[in-house]
Amino acid sequence: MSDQISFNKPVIAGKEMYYMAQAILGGHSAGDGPFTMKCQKCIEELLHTPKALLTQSYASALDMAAILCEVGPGDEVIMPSFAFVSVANSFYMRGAKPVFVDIRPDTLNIDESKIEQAVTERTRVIVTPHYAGIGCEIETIMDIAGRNGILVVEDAANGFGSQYEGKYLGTIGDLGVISFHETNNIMCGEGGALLINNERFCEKAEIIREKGTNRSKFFRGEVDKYTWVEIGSSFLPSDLVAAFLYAQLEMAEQIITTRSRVFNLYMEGLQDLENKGVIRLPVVQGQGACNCHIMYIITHSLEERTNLMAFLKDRGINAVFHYIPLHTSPMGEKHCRAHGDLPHTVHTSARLLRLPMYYEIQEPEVEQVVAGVRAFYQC
Amino acid sequence: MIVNKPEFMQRAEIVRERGTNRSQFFRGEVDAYTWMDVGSSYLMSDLLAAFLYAQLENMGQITRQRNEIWDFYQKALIPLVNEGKLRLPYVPPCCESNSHLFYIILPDEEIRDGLMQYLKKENIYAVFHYVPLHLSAVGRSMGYEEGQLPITESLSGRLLRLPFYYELTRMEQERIVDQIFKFFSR
Repeated sequence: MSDQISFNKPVIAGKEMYYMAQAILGGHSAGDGPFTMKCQKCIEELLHTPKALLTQSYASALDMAAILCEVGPGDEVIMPSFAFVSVANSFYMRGAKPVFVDIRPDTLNIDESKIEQAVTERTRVIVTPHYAGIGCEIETIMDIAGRNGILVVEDAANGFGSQYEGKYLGTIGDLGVISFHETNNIMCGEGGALLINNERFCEKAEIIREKGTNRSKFFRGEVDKYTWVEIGSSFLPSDLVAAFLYAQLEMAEQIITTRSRVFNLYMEGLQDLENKGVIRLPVVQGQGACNCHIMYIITHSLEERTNLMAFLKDRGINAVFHYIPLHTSPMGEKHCRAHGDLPHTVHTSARLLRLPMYYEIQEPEVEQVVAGVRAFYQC
Repeated sequence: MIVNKPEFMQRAEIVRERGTNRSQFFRGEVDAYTWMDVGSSYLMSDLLAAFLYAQLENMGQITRQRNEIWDFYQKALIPLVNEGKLRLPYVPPCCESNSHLFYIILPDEEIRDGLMQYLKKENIYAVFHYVPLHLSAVGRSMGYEEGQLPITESLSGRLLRLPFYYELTRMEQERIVDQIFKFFSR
């Protein structure tokens, strides 16, 4: 059917193939080539952060963060249960126990007022996803962490370009992680970045990312052979992938501006449904707070959402749900601790529906989606 | 990763997909995917797979050409073997090589380093290889020390890899071999 509306279409900036050809002909397709350096510099400048390292994926950036935080068996890491699996797995694989805290009903981010009660003497890290690229209460969380001697890994997986009180997401915690997976605003298929906001992690991060060797020092001529000095793996991406990403980074501002227009069309088109209490819309406060990664609505029940999803599907519209709470997964039940019943997590997970959202979606298509939602609710 | 044992298949798929049953989800076998096991994002971007595919299609040709480069080094350097100046790679009769690299083994580390410097002056880049893991910072912190693995230590200090790549020409190879002969006849 020609009038199917996809949930997502990866953006093509235009110069990807050109830069990838340059990378191939330049003879450097392994990691840390010229395009990796360009991307890192570009991210550092765009986000005003001292150090960005490209990684194979967002999960590798989290894996690196877990190693840098030096968590181990017996340690606890606080995070929301309404989050991507890698948040828990990266720390669990180092031996730490994920401790889940409920989310706020408004932004769907970790409820900062519940964090301190979940802190024990074993708590080493708080991981703070910014759901849908909208900031959690990161400054309050930084205070809690500071008071308790805990590190903060800021999960800005979907938050590239969003701000919290004028600071870019991912640059506030001790470490920040970003995703450039195909589904993100700016992407390279599989890719990510680790932002190092605390200088004491710089040298070790470089080593962990280079298979646990001092190879970066070797290439800078600081040592005459490189050798095994730490744990680590090959967390750096091929320069071909970085070349692709660079084309997208050059267009970052325009991509976000275009997505904001789409987001606003949705918000305007559905506002009165929220006013009537039919559905709930995302809560966005302040200039630059949202990179418009996800447009979601929250329905009243799982049944209602299931029916709405099927109703839209019949009209060729692909809307999808999101995270299954981690505490209810087989691994979560067996190896993690939930701090309380997490009612908002459970409810949100069952009732949230993401609407089609991508760079190239056109106004008539957005109107069609809005009309579909309105038709379902008969208003 | 090559999964040779069927019993690893399903878990390998999960571990590679961040510890989730996402692959089953995409095949329509489950209606939502969730956290099942340890894992990370071990899969590569399809952009890279596209690049790799072109190379895989030409694997036969690439290997044939590399075998020729390998054979040339092997034959051309035999006289130096007979003079006891160096040793060549040993390929057991049951093995077939993909000619990934060509190394020579020198009598001692001093000669190896000397040859490496000599070739470098001629703009020929020959390089050593692994520093033994047991003598790395991590290995030593585990209590390993020199002398425990004598063959590993000796060969690590004496091995030199010669330039080796698909586009290496016969003329370049001849120049490399000539310079190695010159080094030994100084």
